[in-house]
Amino acid sequence: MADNAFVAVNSGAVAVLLQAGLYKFAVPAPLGRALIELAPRMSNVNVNGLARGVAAVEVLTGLALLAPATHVSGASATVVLGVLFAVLGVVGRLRRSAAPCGCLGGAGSRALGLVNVAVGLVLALFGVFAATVPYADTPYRLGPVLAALFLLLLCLWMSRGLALQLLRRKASTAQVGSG
Amino acid sequence: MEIAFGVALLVLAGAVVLLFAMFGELASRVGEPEQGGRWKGTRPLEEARLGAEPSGWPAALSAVGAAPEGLLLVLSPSCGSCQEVAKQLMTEGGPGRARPFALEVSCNGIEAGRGFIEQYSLEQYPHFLDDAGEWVRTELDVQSSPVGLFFADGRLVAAHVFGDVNALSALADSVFAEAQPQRQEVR
Repeated sequence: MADNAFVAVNSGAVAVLLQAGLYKFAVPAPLGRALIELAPRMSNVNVNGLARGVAAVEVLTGLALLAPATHVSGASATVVLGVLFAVLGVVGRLRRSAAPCGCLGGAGSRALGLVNVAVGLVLALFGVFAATVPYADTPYRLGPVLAALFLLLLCLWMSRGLALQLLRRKASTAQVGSG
Repeated sequence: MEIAFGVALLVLAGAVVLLFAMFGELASRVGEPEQGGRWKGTRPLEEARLGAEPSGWPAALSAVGAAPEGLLLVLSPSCGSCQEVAKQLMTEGGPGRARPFALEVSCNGIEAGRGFIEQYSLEQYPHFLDDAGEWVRTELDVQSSPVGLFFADGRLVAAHVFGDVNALSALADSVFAEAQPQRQEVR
């Protein structure tokens, strides 16, 4: 039972990392702008490339958490990423960052701040715990399915504004078509 | 088998995330509908190097760079929207006298730029003919037009694609009001 719960929580962490990584990989500009806002000197750096690099690390870390052979490495990388998110959140909060960072994808209206601190700390704590769990002894085969389901739910939640907008437009088009 | 199914599902879920990300990006770029066959809105220019301070200013644009608040319009002779904006500048005037403003014409050859300025009687405004858009591209990563660039003390604080000079003027007040606290912190 505890093993099942751990696999479910692990899959949840995978979903968060994949959602954040894949979204940033496709749309790196918001994080790039947020970084320049925090440190204007970075305007001379290829921030979009940097954002894509972070995105790639997030995706690889998420995938590493799913396989028993790479689970400990994935957990360690999760700790590092979690601390990085938390630090960026603290800096964003202190500097009263206003640029949406698109950190978790979707909604995109939130700047670097307390949410990043919270998500970062939860990921870091989970990573520390996950590194001590013998993942091969758990029902890890369920991991990819659960991660996929969580990822779909998270994606729909983060993009709910866009999804509702599309549904409303579709409904109004249908009304015009039938009228 | 169980793992293969899970991985396939995960790949599909990942594709959905990418699809939503790109759809969201597309939706944010579409902007407001056209009015009278012409787009009159503004939208942020994603790729502009916000926070950048050009290493050097062409003489014609130096007033924009030296002012606490300055506006630079990037136009190009080959873009249809720029011609509409140029007509508007000719008939309705520039975006107000509250702050310095100048034109940067990204042109394919200086002659083409000069022809554009003469065609729309834009000589009255400070302007810089930027061959191949070299200056604005290397200094600020701007490769689109028409674009309004907002500078505070010589630093790029916002960049917006626009279809109407009045819409850009209306935006200027809020852009500079937002930039004010950051400038005070920098000082």
